[in-house]
Amino acid sequence: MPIRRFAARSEWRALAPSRQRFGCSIGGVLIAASLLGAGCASTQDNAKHRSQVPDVPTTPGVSPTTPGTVAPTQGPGQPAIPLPVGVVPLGPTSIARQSRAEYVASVQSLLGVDMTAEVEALPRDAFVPFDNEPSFQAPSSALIQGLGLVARQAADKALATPAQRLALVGCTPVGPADEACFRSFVEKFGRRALHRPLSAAEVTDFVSFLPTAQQANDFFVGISMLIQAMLQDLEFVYRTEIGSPVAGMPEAVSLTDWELGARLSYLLWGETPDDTLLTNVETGALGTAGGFLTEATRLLADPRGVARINRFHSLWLGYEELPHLPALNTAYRTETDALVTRVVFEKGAPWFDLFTSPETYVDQELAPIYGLPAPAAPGFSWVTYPDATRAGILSQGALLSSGAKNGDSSPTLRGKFILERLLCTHVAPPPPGVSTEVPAVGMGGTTCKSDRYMAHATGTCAGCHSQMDPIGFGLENYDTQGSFRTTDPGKPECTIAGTGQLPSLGTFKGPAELGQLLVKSDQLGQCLTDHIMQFAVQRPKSAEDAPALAALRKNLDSTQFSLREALLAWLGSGSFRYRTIEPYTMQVMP
Amino acid sequence: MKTKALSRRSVLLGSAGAVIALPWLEAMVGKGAGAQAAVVPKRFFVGWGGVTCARGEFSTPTVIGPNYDLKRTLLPLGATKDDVTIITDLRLPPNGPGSYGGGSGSFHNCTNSPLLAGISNPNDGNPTPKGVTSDQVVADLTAANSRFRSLEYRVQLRNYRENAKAGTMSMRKTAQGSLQPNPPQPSPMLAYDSLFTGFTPPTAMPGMMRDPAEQARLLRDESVLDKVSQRSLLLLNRLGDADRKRMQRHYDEIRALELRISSTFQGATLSCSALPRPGADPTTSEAYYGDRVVGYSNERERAKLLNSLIHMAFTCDLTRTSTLLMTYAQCCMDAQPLLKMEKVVDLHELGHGGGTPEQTSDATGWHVEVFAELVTLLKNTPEGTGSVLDNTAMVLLFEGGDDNGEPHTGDNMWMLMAGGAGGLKRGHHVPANKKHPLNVTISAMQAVGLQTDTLGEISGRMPELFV
Repeated sequence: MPIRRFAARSEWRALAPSRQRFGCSIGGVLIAASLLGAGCASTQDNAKHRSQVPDVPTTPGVSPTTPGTVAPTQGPGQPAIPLPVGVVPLGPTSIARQSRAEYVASVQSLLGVDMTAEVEALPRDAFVPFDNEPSFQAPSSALIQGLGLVARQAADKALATPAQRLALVGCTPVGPADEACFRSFVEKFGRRALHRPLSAAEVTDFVSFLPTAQQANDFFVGISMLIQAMLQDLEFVYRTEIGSPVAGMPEAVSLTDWELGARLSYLLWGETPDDTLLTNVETGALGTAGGFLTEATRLLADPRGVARINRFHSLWLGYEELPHLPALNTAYRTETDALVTRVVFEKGAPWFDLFTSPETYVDQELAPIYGLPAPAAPGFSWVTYPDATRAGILSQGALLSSGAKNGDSSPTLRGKFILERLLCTHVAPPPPGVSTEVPAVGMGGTTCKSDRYMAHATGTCAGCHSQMDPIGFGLENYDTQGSFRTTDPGKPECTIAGTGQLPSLGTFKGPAELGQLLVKSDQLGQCLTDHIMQFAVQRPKSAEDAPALAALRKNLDSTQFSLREALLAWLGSGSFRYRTIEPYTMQVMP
Repeated sequence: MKTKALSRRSVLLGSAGAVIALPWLEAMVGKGAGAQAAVVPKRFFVGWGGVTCARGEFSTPTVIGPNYDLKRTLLPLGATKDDVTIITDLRLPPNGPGSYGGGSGSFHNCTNSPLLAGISNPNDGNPTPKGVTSDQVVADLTAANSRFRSLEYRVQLRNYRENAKAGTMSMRKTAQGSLQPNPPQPSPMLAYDSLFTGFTPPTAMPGMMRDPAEQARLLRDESVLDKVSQRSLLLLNRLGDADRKRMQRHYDEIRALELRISSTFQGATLSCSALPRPGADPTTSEAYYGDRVVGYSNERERAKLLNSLIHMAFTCDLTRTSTLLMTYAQCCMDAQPLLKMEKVVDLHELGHGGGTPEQTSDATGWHVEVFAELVTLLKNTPEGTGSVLDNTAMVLLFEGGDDNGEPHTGDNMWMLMAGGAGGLKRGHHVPANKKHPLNVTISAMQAVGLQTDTLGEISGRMPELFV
């Protein structure tokens, strides 16, 4: 992959009107053409981007060299190993900092303490929509101070009681300067926190905390300092991938088995590797194709793997933070997580079933909201929808909560959501000077929502609104909690038609029919592909991802979109062993 | 200022093939002015309120010029009114042909950029300024002389509803030329630790001796940080160019903190003293306005604590530039505990029928109160023949104006300005005849030494703001 293509990508970024950088890939062409015809400015931008950065797949393993470029080799002097035939490396990636959620999960795993509240001291992650994008992770003075504070609090919590201390350290110190006990903990804890064994010199270096413990006449003063230093270590805070050179690919490296293990663990669990994974690295098992696949299978089957796939969906589809009362938020989340878990893990069904499932998982609080018969007993159970108007995830409160505005659903925001998140079609922001704060002024003196939105149907607004609003109006019979309604809130005279249109794909009424239309389009599957890639490489897709995207899509197609099987096939392809180093860029957090 | 030798610098510069620059380390940890206190420093402050300027009937004084009258929103100014100038009839133009530095149609979160950096917002709803903000332009002028390049504090703990919003009001250009945020510190306790670690007041005061346990903890923190720093440097040297650039600022920030911890700082003036360490930060309570979450973390108390830190940082010349984000744009903070109201409602909804016009103006008035508190602290602090306030330029901006009860507008905005640096006029009511709010900020920047009259897309000072 020649260096100049990076430059082209940077140019693409610089030109993008907002951080949304998706081109309308393969499947997006239909809608792109439709929006283009309608004059929606951003799609013209996208078209421009596409022409500047053609989505030309490169031949796997063949890497033209650019004369005069300096290879960003991270480990000079190491022998370069060629890329195996048929392996398609991932597109360029950057060193990523742990998100706050990953930090909390890792500390929980390392120390057995919950730092959910304390982690507020760290700057917030950008949800774009995933929370793990390095180009938004600008270090700051507040970050450094926060990391120090949270590390101290974590150490205090973990060492709060004598029982906790002994359990954590795993040996009983014979005195404040028990070097053998201290050394064993340095080795054990360091290996977990930094996901690799420490060198003898490093261990000795950390043992230098021991004199302070002796001075304080408290062995655990030294342990506390060690924990704090480890939790602030760059190799814990960030996931560094140095690797070794790859022959013929100056900008790529082959990860060490330890780095590969950490990459796998953070991808599938969002936290530092456990002891089993590290042992499998140590024995060399992870370095074999079979061993890697076995480990990936284990991680994905673990509750942490299931939670990770759910988090992928909740960040992508915007329901990680819901706007209702806590109990209701939890109920919606339980419902949607159950559906994702059932489709992806329990049934191993085509992922599209998320949009067509005739059942949902409700309790006595949720059922009445949807007009379903309440389960006889407390707790959640699967209930079949009584008719075909509701089906799948789009009928659920978690999804219908999105796009709320002024205390009611906004057909525009819902349409934008469907276009951007499920069809990967970027919609431009309103033109400068156009107010979107208040509902559009009513036309003809009526105040029904459908009439108010007619104001969008003409002039400069129409280009984009004629694409977004008709989608949202097809969901108007469902309020922001997911309840069915026939009239505008507080306006019985305003009957809701509830019919909608998806550009170039057809008309629909309600979430079940919308789900059917989406599933029939190729764009939904491609948009899933794009988002898996975005989650994995921790940035929006770019032209360099074309080969890897094609490989992932092939895995999805060949498994009939069994997400679990496709992920495992993709992980097993050898792609994850290689890292292409992304040039340094930094963006401004929203 | 006694500073540990930068022993590692020689290692940095000597690393074969991988020279790591210390681009702004010196800028982040300045020399300190203790030894050169003969030159009286000038300080710059920008406050931000994510609420609307209260409507004219509650805010705009009838009297123009000196001895202006205080209407409801400005009542908290009290005696400070003789030091505070109000500039009314400011206008933030909407974006469009021929307008510059405007907000945009989508009001909330879109005025931060034009009001703080003079860069128009592309209607993207992203409140992070799109250019270097006024405080950082000033910091470029002053940073070399103070211990902290600048301070960024935030009163409102979180945005409560849209938690992903960053709440950043300060942006700077790095040595590498990229625009990066300075996220504000919302924790008074952390802000205190950062400010006063390694700090010695000029005169020994009773009760100021450190507790031995606290002293031991500081030493251990220093030791831990030293380890982190050493290991970071070793790692940096193993990374390729792109990765190292990404990690460089992290390392620089570690070094800056390390240097502050390991160096001592002698306060500059007799008024300088160390403050007692605040206790744990106030906790958050959340409540519901309809089905929407609002929150309150005793921001009233937080504001007092952060003000006291800014006051002492200015007095001791620990920094010369500070920002205080009082509330997020479209503020979702609970007004009930803040204003002792009967019902739960957030500050934003107050202006949309959730409260009376008087209550809405009182929410703005709380921001005025916070500003007035800082003015009072600085005024009561002697410096030379006058006060610290005499050598300070302060401005307070709000998110937008009010158009006959419709708060989503850039019309009818007003700002407060305080301090006497550079001959700024105090205690006046100055109508601005539709000038851009940044014309006020640029005037205040010039008062502390800015040589140009431009910020972002906006140019021009207001001569009428100077004596």
